[in-house]
Amino acid sequence: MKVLVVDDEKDVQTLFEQRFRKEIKSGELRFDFAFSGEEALTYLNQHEQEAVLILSDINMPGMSGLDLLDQIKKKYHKPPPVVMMITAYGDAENYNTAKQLGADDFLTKPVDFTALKEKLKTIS
Amino acid sequence: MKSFIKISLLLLLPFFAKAQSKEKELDSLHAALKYSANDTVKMLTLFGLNRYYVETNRDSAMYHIEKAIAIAYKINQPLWVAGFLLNKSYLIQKQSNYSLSFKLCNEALAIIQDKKNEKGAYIPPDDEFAADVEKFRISRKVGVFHQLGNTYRGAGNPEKAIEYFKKVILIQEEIKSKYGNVTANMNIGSIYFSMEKLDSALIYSNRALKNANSTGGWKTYLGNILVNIGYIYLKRGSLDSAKTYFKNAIFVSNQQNNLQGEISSNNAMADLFEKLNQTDSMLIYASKALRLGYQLKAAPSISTSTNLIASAWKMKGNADSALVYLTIAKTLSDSLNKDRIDKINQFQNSNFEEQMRLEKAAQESVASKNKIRTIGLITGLGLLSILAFVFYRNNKQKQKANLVLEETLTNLKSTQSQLIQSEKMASLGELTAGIAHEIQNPLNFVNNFSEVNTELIDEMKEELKAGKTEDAISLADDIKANNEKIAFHGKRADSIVKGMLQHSRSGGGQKEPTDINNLLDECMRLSFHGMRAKDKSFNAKTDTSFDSSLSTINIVSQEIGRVFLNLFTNSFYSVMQKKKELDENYSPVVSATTQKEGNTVKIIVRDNGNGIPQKVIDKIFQPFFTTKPTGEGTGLGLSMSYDIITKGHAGELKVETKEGEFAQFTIILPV
Repeated sequence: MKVLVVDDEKDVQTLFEQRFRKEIKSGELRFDFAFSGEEALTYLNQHEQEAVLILSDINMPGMSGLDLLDQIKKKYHKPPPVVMMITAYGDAENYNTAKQLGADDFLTKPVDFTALKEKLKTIS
Repeated sequence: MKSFIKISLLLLLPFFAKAQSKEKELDSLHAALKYSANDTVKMLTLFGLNRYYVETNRDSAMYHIEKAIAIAYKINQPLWVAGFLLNKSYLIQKQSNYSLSFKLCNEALAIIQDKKNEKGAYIPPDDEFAADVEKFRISRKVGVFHQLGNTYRGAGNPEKAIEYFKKVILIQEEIKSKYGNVTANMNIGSIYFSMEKLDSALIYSNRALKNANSTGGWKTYLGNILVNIGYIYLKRGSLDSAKTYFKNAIFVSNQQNNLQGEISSNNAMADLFEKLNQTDSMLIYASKALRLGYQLKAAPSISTSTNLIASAWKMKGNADSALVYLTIAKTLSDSLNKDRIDKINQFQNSNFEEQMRLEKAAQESVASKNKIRTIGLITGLGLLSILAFVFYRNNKQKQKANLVLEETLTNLKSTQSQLIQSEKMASLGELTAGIAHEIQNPLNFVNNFSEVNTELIDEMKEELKAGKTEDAISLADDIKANNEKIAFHGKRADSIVKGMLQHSRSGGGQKEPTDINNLLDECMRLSFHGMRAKDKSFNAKTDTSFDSSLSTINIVSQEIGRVFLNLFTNSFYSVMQKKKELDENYSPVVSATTQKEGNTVKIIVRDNGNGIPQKVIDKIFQPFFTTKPTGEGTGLGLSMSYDIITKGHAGELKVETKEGEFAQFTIILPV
């Protein structure tokens, strides 16, 4: 399963690669990274249908995670990828907006990777 | 009788005989009288002769003034008649006939009050009012009041006399006469002296002296003034000063042909020597005064001199001589007193009605004018009192308002400091959400990398157990790298919290070397996330262009940070508003730039938002000015920023903007 992680924090890449090193080693999961909403859209355009799961931060300069979510859900629907929002803001408003826009799940930072792994298992 | 010298003078027309000696003056006057066919010239000459003789030979003076009056009538010059009547009044007063003296004054006044008499009035070309016949006429009043002052003084009413002399000075000031008054001041001075008011006496006498010295034509009475001042010093016990004044008085009086003055000053000298117990000198001066007194036929002076001589002989122990002079003096003074008392009674009793009648007549001649004046005056007074009332009320209200204002000001000052604090707290509040996000991000790494490290350490142990040293080392490298990340993000969280605390702290920060690029970047992120926290739909592109050659500069970082946060918050707010209006067709951009320029650092915060309307551009740095809706902004952000940059850091804060297009704030800080 291919996962696209979108976050403006570059260290996220190292973190995911380490956290999922076993899954990456075993080929169970493959990760790609985009550091802004725009970059993520470009990636999706180039690699259509490759990413099954998108993990996106909400608060990013430029295009926000929610904008990205909106775009993905409107344009990439064959089959639409699973989109999980990861944000530092765990408030109800953010959650509701994300859900309204079609987010499949909603995680808060700091990310609980054990829980994330469980969720990934159910998808794949 | 050691009374103060009696000086009563008449002041009428300036008649100058500047450079001429007194003898020459007399010759030329007689010559003019003899050869002139012109009545006006004759009249003026007769007047000149009157003035020449007035203090030396009063019979001659009277003779000439009577003739002058006759000519003035003949050539129809009522204003001159009036003037001459006053001269006559003076001479009459000197004979102690106060009732007649008073009557003449009133006659003169009636003429002067009548405006008709201005017509065809002759004014000498060298008169100071040659160009203004009305002023010329009014200036005649000076003579009336002056003479009235003299008359009242002679008649034993010094208060009334002072009143009239002061009126003289007042009128002269009113018509702006260029001649400072000599004789009125002198007379007031001498009256105050006789009332024992020495300070007032000295003030007026000195004024007279000053004016006499500065206005050329009035030196005649210099001697009298000097005598007066000398007496003031004598009374105060400054005998040396008194002596100097008296000596000068004798000299000047003689020079000015002022016989009365010469007598007075000689008597004054005798007075002084009596105090010094120098009886010989006393006799010399008193005898001289006596001789001159007989020449002038001035009974009061003769009496004074005789008394002085008598007392000198008495002091010398020569009782016989003393008795002789004392007897003469007593006889003289008795008759003088009797005569004086009679005449005063006459003046006070028989002339009361006449006085009233004359005053009435004088008033009637100007009745209509007075009536208008009175009405005007009453109206004026009415208006004045209304005005006064209005002003009073205004003033009261102002005072009340002032109290309220002062209170309000005090309140405002405390409110302002509270507001500044709450501005800090408000911007902190706006940022709290942003800060939370900023902290959660590093925490995310700290927590997760530490967990990863725990796992990696377990793995490493297994590899080591299995003897796979290479793999173990590679794992150790990963652990180390992760640990560095933990430390990095830990510090990041730390600096965010510190920044937040600093932001809420009030002032007092120390300047320390600060990486301006870092601070600007941090503030931009904080502000951006703060905005996002408030409005989830918000987004904006952020551009940074930092001059990497910038080393640290000395600033109070929390203060400058506050400025940056403010500028960014404004920028993000502005682009957010514009986005709401334009939506799809607009891409908000906020940029931050640093540049080193010589000895300064330039920091530019720019947005492509709505800009600032030209009409408020001057106000944006004023406290409490805000364009945000009520409750959204305190209006203190930019004013605080301005103070921080200009006052706190000797820098500049400038703004450039185009309404609807952009706003750009430039900070210039010295390195």
